[in-house]
Amino acid sequence: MKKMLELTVNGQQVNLEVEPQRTLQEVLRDELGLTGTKRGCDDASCGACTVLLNGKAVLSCNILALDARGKDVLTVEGLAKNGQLHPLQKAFIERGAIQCGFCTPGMLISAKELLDKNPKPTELEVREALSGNLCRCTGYAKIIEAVEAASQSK
Amino acid sequence: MSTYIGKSIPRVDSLPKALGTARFFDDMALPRMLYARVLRSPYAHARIVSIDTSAAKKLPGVRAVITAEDTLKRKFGLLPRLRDQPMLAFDKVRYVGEEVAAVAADTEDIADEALGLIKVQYEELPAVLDPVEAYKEGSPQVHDHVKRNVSFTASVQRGDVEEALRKCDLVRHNTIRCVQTAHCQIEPYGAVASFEEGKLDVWSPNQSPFTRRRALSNLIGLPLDKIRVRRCYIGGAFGGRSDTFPAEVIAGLLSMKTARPVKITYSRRESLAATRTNHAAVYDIKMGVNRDGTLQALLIKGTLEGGAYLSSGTNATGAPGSAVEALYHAENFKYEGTRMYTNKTPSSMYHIQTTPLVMTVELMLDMFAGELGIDPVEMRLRNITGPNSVTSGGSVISSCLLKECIEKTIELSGWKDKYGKLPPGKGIGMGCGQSASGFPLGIRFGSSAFVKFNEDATATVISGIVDNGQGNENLMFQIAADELGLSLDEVALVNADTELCPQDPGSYSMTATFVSGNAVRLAAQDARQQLLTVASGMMEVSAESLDLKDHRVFLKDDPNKAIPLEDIVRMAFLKGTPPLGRGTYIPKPLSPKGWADIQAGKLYGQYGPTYTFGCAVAEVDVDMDTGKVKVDKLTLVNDVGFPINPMVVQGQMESYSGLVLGHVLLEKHEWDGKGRMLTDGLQSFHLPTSLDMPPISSNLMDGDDPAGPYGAKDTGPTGGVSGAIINAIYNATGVVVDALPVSPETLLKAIKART
Ligand code: FES
Ligand code: FES
Repeated sequence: MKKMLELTVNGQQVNLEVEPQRTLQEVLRDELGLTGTKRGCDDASCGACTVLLNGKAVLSCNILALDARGKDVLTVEGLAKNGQLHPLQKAFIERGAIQCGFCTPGMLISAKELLDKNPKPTELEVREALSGNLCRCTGYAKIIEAVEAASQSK
Repeated sequence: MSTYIGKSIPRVDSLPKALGTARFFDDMALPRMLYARVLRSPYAHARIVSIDTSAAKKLPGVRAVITAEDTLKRKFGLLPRLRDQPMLAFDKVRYVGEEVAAVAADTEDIADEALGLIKVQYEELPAVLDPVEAYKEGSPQVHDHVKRNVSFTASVQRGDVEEALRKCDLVRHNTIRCVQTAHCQIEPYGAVASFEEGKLDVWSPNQSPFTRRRALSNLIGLPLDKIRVRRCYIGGAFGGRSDTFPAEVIAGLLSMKTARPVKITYSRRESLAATRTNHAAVYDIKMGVNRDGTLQALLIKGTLEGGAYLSSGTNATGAPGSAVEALYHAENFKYEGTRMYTNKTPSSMYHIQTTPLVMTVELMLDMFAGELGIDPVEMRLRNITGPNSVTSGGSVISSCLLKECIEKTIELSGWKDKYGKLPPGKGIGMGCGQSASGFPLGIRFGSSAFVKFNEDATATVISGIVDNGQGNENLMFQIAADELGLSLDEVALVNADTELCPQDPGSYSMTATFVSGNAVRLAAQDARQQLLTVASGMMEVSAESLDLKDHRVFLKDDPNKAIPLEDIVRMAFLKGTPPLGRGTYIPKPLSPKGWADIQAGKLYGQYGPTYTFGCAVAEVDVDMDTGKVKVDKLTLVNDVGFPINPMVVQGQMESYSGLVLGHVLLEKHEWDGKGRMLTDGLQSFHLPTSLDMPPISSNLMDGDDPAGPYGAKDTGPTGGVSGAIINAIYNATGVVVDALPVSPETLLKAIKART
């Protein structure tokens, strides 16, 4: 039986009917077409699907869409505002922190949660905040640099 | 001076990736698209007695069910003689996870439910799960026609190595073994296929669209012009996306059957257990030196475990030998690689697959250095290959700044203040590496490109180049924009599309810069020349006296005399000579013999057209109570010729460092006694996280390759990081590593055994 779901996604009110077993990831990708949120694993272990739920980074593959009812979801597509890149997006691009880009959306969201809470993190704090986001392409070096650069530009 | 060549400019593709709008195959949704799932073998080795799909076909929402009976029963393999992998199993299954049947349905859930309704009757056969067992007389045969399960052999030889070993002052004998690891791209595997009007379109992560088109044509039975492998963003490859996989064949067949688009998305589990692994291997190494530290003889026997099918095992079997012979000079050299079939997931090339061997050669050099009282740096300098040298396999190495890389790495890492002066548990080590830019690929060795101008003086580059994430596309933008006097946003790229683009080798052998980059350079230069010719008519001067830069053509001697590019382009159209540039680049074999008699497995002649080199220093901290290794810092210096985009090259060096650290310290596939992979998720197969990786100082020599575009060579798995880490562990603990990964338990045991 489908159920009504109301939530805010990237600042926009969304109303739709979903099956109760659907994850937030499935609804974002398949129903809303927000495919920036990626899927890299079957068991909540890669971080590619990370989104902010009421400002907190969560694995969208690991929560039911209905549990986001009435909440505020931010995906990678909502980071840039009025055509302006978020400082993290700018830093990732300028520092070469993006290679294949598959981990990038999740990385950006985890980094945003960190900088929102802790605007001037140490290198170790950055590494800890991103330790649930796997990247196979960068060795993390330029990602860490980019987050540090974004924190300094703020 | 160039505007873009040689500059660390951000990659063009990073914007859509940062915005979340870059489309990977799984982000695609086509009208009326169906979803496919695959039924896989639960057995490592079994005869298929019967398959009954009738119940599955009746399930509402199921649109098609296929088995091998719906295929041409042809097999996949890189060379005709070596085709051994069916896309849907017939007669036998040879590993757990092998494709047996597939369903296309309205939703993935329905497809999954249908899989449960397919009845397969198997007759289980004894399986062989170990390469040593596999060779024994009377062992089960993975392929009926392959006696003793020898899948492939490859050898390189120079001089009389046994004799030379007898004459050396000192000889060492080490072994190293490693289990299977994985490429583990973060994007799981899959494909979208759409058959319409007699033509099949395919999107899937791949390293070589043209190679894939050829294989699909063989397997599905459509001619090349009726198959279009198309560009999509690709979430990493690392050598593991070079084969053609059942996913795209199955999606294609299902689409042909249903006349609807079909998407198949592998789970992480399927990606790990049913695509490819890195080879497990054992290397037995004898090295002989004289008292002055010069390498006299090197004898290497490698046994690789290849799993159920050959995949790119031909190259994988020879590559370890090639990795060593082009790095250190030994007058007497022999490498013999043997690849064995077992009933496990097939193994393919892997970007860093030569790691265990190269690392151990490095370790042995350090052991000799200690024994002889020679500094490890000096030990390397006495034995490395140099410019204009010939390797044991007969390759000529043209440009080589390895010596300079070593010197710079030593300086930047502060080696002299640290080596031999660190407290217990801390260690520093060095290592070197090289990689060939490409290897001969027969008729797919060369690349061609076109450049066409639009009437507003923007240009479109058409090149087969594929970008797996490493930045190949951006390279083409930089080259074309510079040659044509345009800014980056005035260049468009059409690429990785077999219908629209001329042939290209793909990006599976570190050739993108060298081969495809040269082709785009030549095409852009051709278009540029055409523009200069038109301009020379307009200005009534010779074309040779003109130059093109920043949207204008001007007199070299009097740069104020200029015409805007836009006017020249318009004139070219008006005159009926629209600027259309074309370029083809095929690396010249420098040696007369060409490379390798694949049939005989003998490797001789020019391997890569050029070679890239690097040196690394690693600093480690070993917890002597737990055996845990923390890499504190990596310092790398590479010779990639003239780097076209230093930031992108550094990114690739860091990428390679991450793969190596994972292989050396963390990653390991495990299997149960029935051949089932136990490590088929990211909770059990451990990739390095941001906490495992150290800060990396990546540096580049300012080199110049005589044949590379602008003097550039490709970045490869070059850096010597594995040797550096293993030598740093040796330096910290005295432990001679003989198996990968170096887990805390094994290292602790070895530390205890020494004290
Ligand atoms: S998809 Fe991997 S953590 Fe959610
Ligand atoms: S950039 Fe490819 S996984 Fe991170």
